[in-house]
Order: sequence, then C-alpha cells, then structure tokens
Amino acid sequence: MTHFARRLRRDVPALAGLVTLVLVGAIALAAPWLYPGDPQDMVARPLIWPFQDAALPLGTDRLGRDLAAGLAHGARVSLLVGFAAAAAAVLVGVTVGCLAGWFGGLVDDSLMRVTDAVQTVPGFVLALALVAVMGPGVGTVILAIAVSSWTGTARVVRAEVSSWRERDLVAACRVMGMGSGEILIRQILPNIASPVIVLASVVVAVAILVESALSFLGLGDPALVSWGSMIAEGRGLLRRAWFVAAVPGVAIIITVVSVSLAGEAVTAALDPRDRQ
Amino acid sequence: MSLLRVSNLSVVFTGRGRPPLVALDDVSLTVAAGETLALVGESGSGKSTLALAIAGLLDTAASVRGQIDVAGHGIVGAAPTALQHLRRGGIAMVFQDPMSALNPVHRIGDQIAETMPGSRAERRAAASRLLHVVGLPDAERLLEAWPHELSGGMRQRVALAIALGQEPRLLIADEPTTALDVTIQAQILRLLADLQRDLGLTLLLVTHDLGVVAELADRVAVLYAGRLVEVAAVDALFSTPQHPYTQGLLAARPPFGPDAPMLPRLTEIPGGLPSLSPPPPGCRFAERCARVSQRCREDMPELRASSAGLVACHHPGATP
Amino acid sequence: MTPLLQLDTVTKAWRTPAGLVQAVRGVSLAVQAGETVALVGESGCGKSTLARLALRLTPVDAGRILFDGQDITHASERALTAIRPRLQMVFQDASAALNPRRTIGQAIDDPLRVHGRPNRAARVQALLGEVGLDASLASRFPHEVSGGQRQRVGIARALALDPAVVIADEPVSALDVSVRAQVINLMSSLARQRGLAMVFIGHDLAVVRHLADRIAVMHLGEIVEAAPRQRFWSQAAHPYSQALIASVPAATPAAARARGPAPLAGDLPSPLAPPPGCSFHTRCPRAIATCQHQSPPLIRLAPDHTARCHLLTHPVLDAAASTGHR
Repeated sequence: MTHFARRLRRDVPALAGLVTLVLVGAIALAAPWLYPGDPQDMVARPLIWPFQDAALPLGTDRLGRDLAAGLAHGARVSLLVGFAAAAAAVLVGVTVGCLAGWFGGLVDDSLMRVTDAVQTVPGFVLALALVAVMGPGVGTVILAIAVSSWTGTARVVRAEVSSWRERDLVAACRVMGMGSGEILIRQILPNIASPVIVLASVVVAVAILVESALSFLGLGDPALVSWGSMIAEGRGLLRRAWFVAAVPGVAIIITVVSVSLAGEAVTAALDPRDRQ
Repeated sequence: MSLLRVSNLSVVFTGRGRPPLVALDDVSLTVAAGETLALVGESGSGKSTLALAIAGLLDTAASVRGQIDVAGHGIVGAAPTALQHLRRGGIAMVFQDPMSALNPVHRIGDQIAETMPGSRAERRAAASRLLHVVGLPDAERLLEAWPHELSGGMRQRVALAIALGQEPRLLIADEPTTALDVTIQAQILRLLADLQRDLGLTLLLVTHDLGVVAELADRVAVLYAGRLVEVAAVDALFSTPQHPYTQGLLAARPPFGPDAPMLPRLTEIPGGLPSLSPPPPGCRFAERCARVSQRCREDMPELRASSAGLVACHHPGATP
Repeated sequence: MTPLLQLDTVTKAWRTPAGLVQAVRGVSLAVQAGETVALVGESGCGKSTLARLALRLTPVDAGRILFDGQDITHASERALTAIRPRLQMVFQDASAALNPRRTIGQAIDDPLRVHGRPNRAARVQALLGEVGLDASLASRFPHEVSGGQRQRVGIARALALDPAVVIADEPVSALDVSVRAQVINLMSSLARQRGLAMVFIGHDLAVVRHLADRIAVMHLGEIVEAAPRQRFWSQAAHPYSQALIASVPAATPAAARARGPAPLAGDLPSPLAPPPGCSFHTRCPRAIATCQHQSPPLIRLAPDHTARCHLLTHPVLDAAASTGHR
C-alpha cells in the first residue's frame, strides 16, 4: 500500500480524517481501561467547566458525572451503531442492486418497486416506529437505521451494474467463459466500489446522527451512555452550562466529518487510475 | 496576404499534482485568404490544441506563449469580449461530433438564425438559403426539426450551415468527417470542396486522415508530438515527402485502388509517441526514426526551407 | 469441408423505445479454417449484432449457428464452456473491454484461470511476447499504456486459449495511423502463424482489402454481396459494394481531382423502417421499378460469388440503366 501512503501525504484533509477516525476508534476500544467503572457514576461536584480540573479535563455534568468518561464510553455506542448499520445497509443494498441491475426485467422491476416503497417512508420516522414496537436497545437502533438506509446504495449499485452489463468488458468476460457470479464479484464490483464507499460513509454519519437523535428523544438504550443522550442531558442547561451539550456535540461533528473524509481517502486509494 | 498567422506558439498544460505537459512547442504557420491548410497529426500531436488556441477556446489550465493573428486581430491574451466579436465575423468552427455544436432543445431553424442580424422573417429566409447551400433542399421542414431527428450527415451539414451563418473569414473544421459513414463522408468532403470553391472560404482542416487531406487541402502542415515537422503544398507532400515521419505516415496506409498492389505487410512506424512532460531534448521523432543520428537525440531540428517546402529534420530527403 | 463457423439464415430484432429494429435479417455466412472473412457495411447494417450472435452473447430469433459442425444455437452456457476457448473476440475499444482495476497480466491470465489451464504465469509471459509487448508491462494497468499496446493486450487475451476462430470487431478503427499498421501486421502474422480463422468487421475498405480473403457486404441487416478478394475488388457486382469502394477517400491529391460527384446521394435508410423491396433502392443510382416492391433474390455469379440485386437478373435492363445514368 505504498501508493496509498503516497496519495495520503498529498491529500491532507483525507489524512486528517483517517487519523481522527482511528483515534476515535482507539478511544472507544480503550474506554473500559481509560475510564474503568460506570460512566454514569457521580465522580465530582456537578458542572465543573472544562479545563478547570486536570483530573476532569472536560468537566462534569449536572449530576457530577465525568464528561470525558461519558464521551469515551459513548463513542463505543456511536461507532458501533454507525458502522454496524452501514455494514448491514451496504450488504443489503449491494445485493439488491446487483440482482436488479444484472438480471433486469421482472427481477429488476419487483426489487425496485420494493426499494421505492421503503424509500418513501422517512428514515427517522421508520426508526421511531421500530423503536416504539420493539423497545429501545442498540440492536433495534441498528436495525432501524439499516432498514431505512440501504435503498440509496441499492439504487446506485443497480444503475452502475446495469451500465457495466452493457459494456464490452462483460462481453469479453462471457466470451472467456466466466459465470455471472465471477463477472459480478470479481470484475464489476471493484469498479463500483467508489460510490458505494462514499455512500457507506454517509450512512455511517447518518446512523451516528440518528442514534444521537433517538437518544436525545430518550428512545436510545437506557442502560448505555451515548453522545445523543449526553446532549439530551445538557439540553436544560444551555444558558447556564452550554459545554455539557457542546462537548458531545463537537464529538459528533468531528466524527461525522472524519468518517466522510476517510471515505474519500479510501475511495481514492482504491483507484489505480489515480496512480502516478 | 495571410489571413491567419501563428508565431512561435507554445502551449503548456499544468494540472494539480501532475507534471506540466508541453502540448505545442514553438509552432509557426500562416494561412492565406482562400486557401485550405490541413493540419495533420495523430492523437497527442497537438493538432486539436492548436485549433482551439486559434479559435480562442483554450481553457485556463493552459499557459500560452507566442502570437496568433487573425486578420490583424491578436487572439492570445485578448479579452473575452474581443474574442466574442472576432468569433462572429471572423472564426467559425465545426467539430467531429456535430451534436456538440447543436443544442438538443432548440429547433434547427432557430439555431441557424440565432447569430444572424435582421428581422425574424429575414433571418428565417437566410437560414433556409443556408440549408440549400449545405445541400439540404427540404429547408421548410428542416427549419422546424429538432437535432435528434436528423441523421449524422444531416447534423454535420446543419453544423456547417450554422458556421457559415456567422460569415466567417476562417472556418476551422476539426475532424469533420471522422464520425461519419464512408458514403456520407464522401458527400461531406465534396460539399466542403464545393463551398471552399464557391464561397472562397479559408479553411483550416484538422485531421488524422491523409485521404481527407488529399481530397481537400491546398497545403499541409504535419504536427508530431507538439512540433511542426513538415509544411508543404499538398502535391509535393504526397509525391516527395521530406520528413521521415511524413514518409512513414504515407507508407503506413494500406494501398487502395484498382491497380494498388497487395502487400504482404504494411510499412510500420515502430514504437509510440514520446512523453511530453517533459519532452525529449532532441528531435521528438528520434526514437522511431530509421535515420536517427547522435545529433538528432541532442539537438532539436528547426523548421527550414527544403526542396518542397519546410522541414524540421537533420537528415531530410527522399525515402532511402 | 465443414466450415468452422457457420451462420444459417440468422435473424435478430432488437426492441427499442422507437420500435422494432430488424438488425439482422436472414444472414448466412460460413467461415472456413484459416481464412479471414471481412464483414463491411455502414452503421446500423447489423455487422456488430451479427458478431454478438455468432459468439452467442445474445440469443438469435431464428436461424442456426454451427461451430465445427455442432449446432450451438441453443446450447446452454455450460455446454458452451467447451466451445468458448475456440471462438474468441477482439473488441474495437480495448479500454472498454479491459477491466480498469485489473493489471494487464491479470487480464491475460483471466481466461487461463477460468478454464483451469496449467503453467499460467509462463503462458502469460509467452503471450505478451507473442503480441510484441515487454514482459514488464504485466504489472501495469490498462490506462498506463498506449492505445496500441492496449489493443495488443486485447489480442493476447483473445489468443490465450488457442482459439480456432477470432471475431475482431473494428479492432484498428480507434488507433492512430502509424500504430494501426503495427496492429494490422500483428493480426495478419498471428493469423498466418496460428492458422487462425478470422471474422474481421470493419468499415475501412483499405484495411479490409489488405487483410481479408473474402468480403461480405452488409446493408440493413442483409448480406448483399459476398466474394473472394480478387473477384470483389475487380468485379464487385452490387451497386452498394461499388458505391462503398468508390467512396473511399483518394490516396493522392491527383486522384482526388480526377473524381466525380459522391457515389451515393441521400442518407442511410433507418433500420427501424427498412424500405420495401430492395433495402438499397432509395439510394441506388441504378434502381428500376422492380426494386421498389420486390426483394431481390440471391444470384450466384460464380461458385463463391453471390449478390442480391435485381439488375443481375436483368442484364439488358442493367446495361440500359447504367448507360442512361452516366
């Protein structure tokens, strides 16, 4: 991957995004060791402002809980929800898109009508409904986000596959005697990875935001700290102690932006046409 | 008197993260009023860059040095408004793909009449006259037609009518028949020849096809890798080419005609174009040339008078 | 002798938003081992569709396709696996037919891998050498080499499985003049050395004249004339063949000045609505009344020279019509 490294050195924003994302991931993984114990426990007096106490660099909230500990543990939930939902959505979207684009005809028509139907339901409303039916929990949130966000991927993959299907490359592969599966997976999919990765990074970002929104509304997993629930905590204190909501808010913004930058970095790295 | 004069023109494309590409290097040529100059070259020769530079259509990523004068007006560094003025009564262009010159959502008649002066009725009459000139007799119906309703040959005729409507002093035709079928190409070539004779057009014909050159050109300028290698009258170029590249191009064509021989092999020009970022120091054709000497690799040959015209070669002359 | 590849009254129509396009209408063509047959014609004449039908890339509506005497018209993909290695294709635009994400080495290896051939790495090296490419190019991507080199990769890939027939669809049309000669020489020497049969689809008659042993002219989905090279270039009988030959741009300025008007006026008829009778009659300079409503029969002018034209059945009318026109 020396080509990847060389490209990244030229592309500072992508590099920054990737480094930040890795850092957030590391903090999430290391949270139980960095901040052992329940982040919901009271550790100091309430509402210490950030940068006042070296032991509590980001301060405390209304109940005297360490905001830094909350942030670290919350990262686990946010990243888990983001990446799991994106993985599920991409898997479903790529499968549906490939089948529709490759086979065309009736398969295409029926799969695309289903896609249309799902797409007409607003994603957040669908998530709310699922949580209302199945009860709050990380699994429900992941499912809800995945169900409402595979359609974009399916559409893009279908369009790409059906355009590639008409190209001479596919005729050449068939003349060679390749089967449909190999043509799709080995020959076509690598060529449409770029838009899929960009879409996946958007799904990750949207999933983190939806999870935050659900938690903000009190529909997240009550047993876990998440960035959304932390913002909800700070809601009533915006005038007095705005930092309680701002700290997790900034974390969300930084993570979402770095996911999208990292997506572009991976896309560029995969493209041999960009080699010098 | 020369209508077009290009002096020491160099065009360098610079892109982000890429080494600069020298598309044209010190090109000088003239076109006299009423003559047809064919600009011959392969892809990467810079022929389209030169055509765009003359038309003032090069994009801003290109850095241009040298001078281009059309009927006394400088093109290089001219303000966009001045260029627009020049385009109306000075330079018109037809392209390989006529669809690129036609707007798919406007009727043919409106597109031809668009740049013309006068009342609506006058412009319509003029548009219909122009359609006759380019060999489309059913003008009344065609004026109301949409571009997608026409065949490729008709579109190219319409593109010509639009160009002629601007009453250009110089018409640049960039591969005007390359996208057309053989029998349609034959029609358009003859149409161009007729227009040139009847209207006294000055034509700059950009092409890779020596057959098209033989059909239309008065003089020929051969470009290779951004430099002019030979300029000569068309008969001289075909009968006594001086530059090894010109000779190679002519010899690489499969012979055709009732008495043409059946060759076991075609004459090849070995190898391919050199990199132009940066170009080699000596003659650009050195690595593919049978007559190459050490001097060719070190010292760039300049365009000099030869027996038949101008040639840029240290060892010019008839095929050995 | 059984032809290697035989098309027997093959018909294909495409459904398009504008209506049914009769792309190929009852075409019969036989390709013998080792010979190069050229299919020539203008856009929309169905020559590329015919290639796809012969390769079983698209199903035929009617007619039969035989490979080495075996009927493959409706053979399953599994049954075709045995045939495919012997029937290969070279495409016009190598950059569209090669995978931009796979190296040149991988591209040439693909057919060997799919068919489980042994010694693949050595074969790839040998094939690169055979088409005149340096072995070091194997690790490059298609966009990193020149157009001529890409087409050589396309040829190497088609040869990887040692085919008996190669269908080449305009393989040199996208190449520059100087490179075109290289690739034409490569193709003709490979065909000779390997005893390949080739179907060469092209519109450049000079290239066709150089390469083809036999020429078949297509017009709106039909083969209107087929003849061996000597006969075709000296005594093409169909007015459309004659017009195509006369439309080739002149080789020299002197020849250009000696020329008359364009051989054909008007446009190609639309394949959506082919003219009744002879499909060429709308442009034919010698059309007679019969041509407008009766489709011409196939006339055998010599054992291996056929043409579809009413004028050839009316020799007297033919002479009168042509003198009247000139």
